[in-house]
Amino acid sequence: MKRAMAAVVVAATAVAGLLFAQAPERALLKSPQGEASVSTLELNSQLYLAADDFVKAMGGTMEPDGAGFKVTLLGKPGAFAVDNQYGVVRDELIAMPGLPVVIEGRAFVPWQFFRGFLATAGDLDLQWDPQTRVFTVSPRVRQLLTASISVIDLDDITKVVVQLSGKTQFTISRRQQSYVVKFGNPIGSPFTEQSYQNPHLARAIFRASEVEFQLTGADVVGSAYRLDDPFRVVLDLRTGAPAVAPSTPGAINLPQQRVPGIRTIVIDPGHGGSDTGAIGPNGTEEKAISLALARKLSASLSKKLKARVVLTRNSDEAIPLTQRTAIANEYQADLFLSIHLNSSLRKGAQGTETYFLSLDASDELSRQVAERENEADTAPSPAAPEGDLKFILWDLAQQEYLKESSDLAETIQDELSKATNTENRGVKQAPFRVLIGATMPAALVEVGFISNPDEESKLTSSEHQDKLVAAIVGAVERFKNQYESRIGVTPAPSVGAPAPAATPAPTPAAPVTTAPPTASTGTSR
Amino acid sequence: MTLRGVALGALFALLLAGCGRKGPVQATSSPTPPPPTALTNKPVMLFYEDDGLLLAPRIENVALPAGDAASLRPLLTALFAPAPAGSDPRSVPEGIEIRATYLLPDGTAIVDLSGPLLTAGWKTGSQAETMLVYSIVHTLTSNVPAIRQVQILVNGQPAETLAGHVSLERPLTPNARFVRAQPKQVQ
Ligand SMILES: [Zn+2]
Repeated sequence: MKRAMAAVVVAATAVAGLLFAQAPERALLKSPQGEASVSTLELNSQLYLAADDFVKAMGGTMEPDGAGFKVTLLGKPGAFAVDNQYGVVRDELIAMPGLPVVIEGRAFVPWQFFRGFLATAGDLDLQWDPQTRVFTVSPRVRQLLTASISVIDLDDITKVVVQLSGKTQFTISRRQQSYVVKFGNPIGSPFTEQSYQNPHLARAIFRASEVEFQLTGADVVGSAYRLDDPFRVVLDLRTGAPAVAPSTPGAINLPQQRVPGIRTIVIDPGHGGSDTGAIGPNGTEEKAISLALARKLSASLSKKLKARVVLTRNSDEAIPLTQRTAIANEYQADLFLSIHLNSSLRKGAQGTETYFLSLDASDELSRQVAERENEADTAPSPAAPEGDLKFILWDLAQQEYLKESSDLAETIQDELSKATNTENRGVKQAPFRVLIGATMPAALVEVGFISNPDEESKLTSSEHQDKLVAAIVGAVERFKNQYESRIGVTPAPSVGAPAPAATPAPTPAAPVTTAPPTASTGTSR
Repeated sequence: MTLRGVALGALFALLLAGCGRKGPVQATSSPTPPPPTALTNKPVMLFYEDDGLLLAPRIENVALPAGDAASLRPLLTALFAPAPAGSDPRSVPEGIEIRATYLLPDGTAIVDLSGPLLTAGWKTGSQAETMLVYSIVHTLTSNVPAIRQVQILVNGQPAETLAGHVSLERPLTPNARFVRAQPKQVQ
């Protein structure tokens, strides 16, 4: 069955612009269905499998579909396309080390596509032994992971932290009055069932590879995110909808429906009330200008970006720093911006600065949380100071978003420098109190030096304020576009390195959702 | 020192603040000022805000006693000294004073600040606040190798911030983003 492939391959690979191709060779496929011979091909030092051979040997079906092929294996649908390095199985993407190719009507795909397919569709493992040229399909050996659970009461939110001894995939689904976290591995549980005296969580029940969290009421909603090293799934539970009805029906009240993206923005006008903030040489108070700017920002952002904008204060009132972040979390904001005016002892200081949170001790923090959580397991009512643990957890909350916050800060700094025609001194990182604990990309903007008389007078002018607002809005728009295209199209966990799978019933606060790309049907762009 | 025992700076700070009012903490820290010992003039690096709004070290001679813990206060006193007439303003505004300093065995320096400016509420921006906080952190960590981090207190108590921006709830570590250049450490 070797056919006259050598010549064909040379022609086809030349057309495809692929070098270093070799003629197809045979390999043996051992599976529960028996043994079969399959064609393989080496392209650009990657091993490709003839899709038709493999699918047939596994008892599946395959048909052309646009620029690609639809594949059904083990009863599960999937697809790949010749111009897309990601295949898809159900809703999950499978990264491949090279593009699929079609040679004389036969599709060859990097063999890792099928490894991912079998893992997702049938919980099977596909291994390749280059020495013996044998592919082996076998049930995946699932390591038993031990789990521990800690439940932490933080004001209006209950944080449920499930820590595992290793990484695994997980899905979270909502049942009537509970959330079920299902893991990709069997779980060694610390208990079978446990009740809690908690406003949101009534009971936790372990079963094989899942844990069910029974809620105290149907109005308890949640969001979840993942933390690594150690691997944890954090479920934030709270009661009901945010304080204010969302402007987009269903946007917030149905956490299952929360679409990743920048849709709600919380703007925090710095200082307020007795806390005037910095005061300029001519008496201008930071708190007044920050509020004026925040109001203008709000109007412009809701108009231009169609975003829902919430201000942490809309009058001259003192609001604790922690409450400002809490407001952003409560509204499930997708972006948090704190607006300030700067001051320096150096009279000539001028220009804008944008900051995001620094957590240089984050590794240590993770370790501390782990230690604390372990303690919490053994001691049901931890004697450790609540505030301290709370602080560590909030730190980790923003840590999830540091990359996005850094991008956001850089984009804002870039636009502001251009708009004010000042040198871009770059972004800076510091432990800004108001940014700690924000569960979304967050930055603090210093729009100018009120301590500099020239800048002070500019900052009070409506015209200059409009310029600043336009720059920030432009930056948010740029960030929004980049962020949304990124989380929408390229989550691509590499095959074999398990990352949390999709299926957020409470939407993960972090964009760990695997959304199929537009080309995921295999028909491609 | 386990975290279980000490947790983070806030707890630390509370502990020390409580003790600090009654007297020096015997077990874990050295009280300042120390008993009079021989002073040696040594070149040290003091960090001040420069024209580019970053901290830059200046080498100055400071009379230091023997011992890491005892050198904290003289270092900060030099850093806090008013700028000589005609020179650039320093990073420390008038009205902020050093109330006490301690050095814990784990390398945490405790700097207890006070003064009318802080008591009344320091009304300033991020720039002035970060510069003061990190001038303290960098001056101490650069000159005393045993110091790993700095916990700032206000009037003997844990403080959220000095002026509404930088969190003081946990010890601060050096922050390279606020420093222009880092010359070789002066011994
Ligand atoms: Zn401010």
